[in-house]
Amino acid sequence: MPKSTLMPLLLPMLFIVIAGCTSEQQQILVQGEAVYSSTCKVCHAQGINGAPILGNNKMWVKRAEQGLPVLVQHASQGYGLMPAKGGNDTLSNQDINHAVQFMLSKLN
Amino acid sequence: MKVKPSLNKGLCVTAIIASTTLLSACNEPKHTGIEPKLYTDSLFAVMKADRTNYTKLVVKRLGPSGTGVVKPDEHWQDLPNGTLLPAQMFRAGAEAVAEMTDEFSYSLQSIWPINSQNAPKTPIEKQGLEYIAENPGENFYGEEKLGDTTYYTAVYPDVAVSDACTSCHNDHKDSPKNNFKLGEVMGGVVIRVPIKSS
Repeated sequence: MPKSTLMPLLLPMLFIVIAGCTSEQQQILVQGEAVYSSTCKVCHAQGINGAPILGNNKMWVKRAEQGLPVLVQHASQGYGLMPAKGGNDTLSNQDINHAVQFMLSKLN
Repeated sequence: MKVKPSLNKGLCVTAIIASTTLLSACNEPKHTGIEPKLYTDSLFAVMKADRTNYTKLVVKRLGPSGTGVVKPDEHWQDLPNGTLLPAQMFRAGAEAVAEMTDEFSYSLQSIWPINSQNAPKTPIEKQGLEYIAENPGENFYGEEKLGDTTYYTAVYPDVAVSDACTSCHNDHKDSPKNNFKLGEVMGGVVIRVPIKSS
């Protein structure tokens, strides 16, 4: 099949795939924000007990360098002065994962 | 009266400079001091940093979950190795500042205080403590007039950050609330700064 015939078919497919990924990521961030607001915000909005403040690059930069899996593990199991799951036992690891992704998304 | 031309010219220049100065002064802001919100937010940043460090570097490191050298306890004075609970250390700081200055004051209060002296005393304090309890993670800012002075009053959340906080308050005989959960707002830090005297 000539290239000129393939391109019009491939472009819309590529667009659909990219749009799908973006929409999935947005969904994660929306769910993460809900978890953040219900559990994490009480400390992470203020920096209570040293919690890194949402959107504060200076507090987050070294933590972000550790990568998502490490941050999720710390938040799930507790780390330093932070209680496991922020003290909310009803949260799943996926909830924690989404909340961490939401907080990371607020960095510049 | 006959004015010399050179003197006349000098008077004109002086008048122009004076009027320019007066006009430019009209456009200047009346005061250039620090904004009250930035001031109280900065004070709170120092307070919470000190409290976090005391919790992490003394209570946790040297207490029962660390080397066990000290025993953090409400009745710390009765124990040879007793040390203040983080909230008590915070309150001790507030009392020391109150002895030093009237330029600002701060206190740890709650609408569910173990000690009734730590209940809100003014309508703004009560409003602020209720607001931060209903809106976790948010601060409250307001103004109130006490006597002849208007104050900027900021209220910041105080959160149950460990089981020690919840169990102490929930089990205390004088506590008006006994179902605190981890991560819940238990009270607030009230910072008050005078901004105007009449």
